[in-house]
Amino acid sequence: MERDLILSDLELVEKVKSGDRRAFSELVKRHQRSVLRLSLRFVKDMDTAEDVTQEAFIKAYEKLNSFEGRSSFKSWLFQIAVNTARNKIREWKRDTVDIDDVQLAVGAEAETTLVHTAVADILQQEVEKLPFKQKTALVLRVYEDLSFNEIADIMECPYDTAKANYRHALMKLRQTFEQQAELKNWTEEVGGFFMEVNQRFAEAEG
Amino acid sequence: MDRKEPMDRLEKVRKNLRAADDLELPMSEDFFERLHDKIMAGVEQTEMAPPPMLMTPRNLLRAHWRGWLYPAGGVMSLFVFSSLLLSQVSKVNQSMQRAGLLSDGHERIVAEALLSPEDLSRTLISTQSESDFFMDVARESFENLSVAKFNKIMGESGR
Repeated sequence: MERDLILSDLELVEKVKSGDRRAFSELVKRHQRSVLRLSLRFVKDMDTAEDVTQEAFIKAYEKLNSFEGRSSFKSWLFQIAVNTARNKIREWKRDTVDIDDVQLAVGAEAETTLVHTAVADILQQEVEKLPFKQKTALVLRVYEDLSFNEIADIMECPYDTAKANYRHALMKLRQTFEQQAELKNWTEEVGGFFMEVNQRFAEAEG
Repeated sequence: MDRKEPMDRLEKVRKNLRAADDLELPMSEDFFERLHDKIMAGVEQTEMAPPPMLMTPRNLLRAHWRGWLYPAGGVMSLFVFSSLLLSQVSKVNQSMQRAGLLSDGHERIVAEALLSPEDLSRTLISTQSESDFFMDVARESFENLSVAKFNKIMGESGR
């Protein structure tokens, strides 16, 4: 076990390919938290996120011989996890017509007045309303700290497309912020975070 | 039409969005040990697919263009190198012939053959017999014969 700790992901992958399942156990231990966290951001339910995580690792093991090492193992694993989460969301599709347009099923509470809802909840709900590709780029960039090259590998798209999805996501959130009167009140109370955001975007527009 | 937002401004927004993140993961080690065991139980039931023998059309299309640079570059290099080499060899041959280093060796062959004609006919001129060879040499000598020498030969043979 001590020796496994000093092996890189790629070295462990080679060991797994040669038949060492214990090496895959080490890969699971290294990446299960980040995969679970990523899954949870999409499916919003811990039990489902666990299922997505398990399915992602099983698919990764099954397809490991097709992993050529062009991207990092983590990027490749995240790609599988995102696709698995997306398929899971499609299974529960309620009010959506096309998953790529993403209007993810939003709870009834979102239809009621938002006067007393915390800003973080508003933020989260607005992120949920983003198109899937934009949300994916936003989640991977903001919450997982990945580079656009890694995001492009995970989303299987060109670098510029990944960047554009991320930018469009932020721009849509900005529009939402401007429409939320309560958000503005909150920004005045807490000292101007979103005021600054609004100001900067207004400057960019102007 | 979307305008390009300066990425450095968005970078600060990104940091602030992250600060507002309220996602919580279980902190219990037991939870992750159970999750790990659950995952490995599924892996134990799974067979690893064999490596792909050929690139599928989808993978070919998705393959980065740089991947084709090396084989294409190698083939082009061989082609260019062989073209240059052939032209250089041709030039060397021509210059050597002009210098007389690559003569057809006729004079040398004749001299060698006169010493041992049977060897020549067996090795170099397999289609010719000894009499054929002497006829060739005699014909060539006759063509180069001077008038004085001809008269002398005819005079001597007539006796």
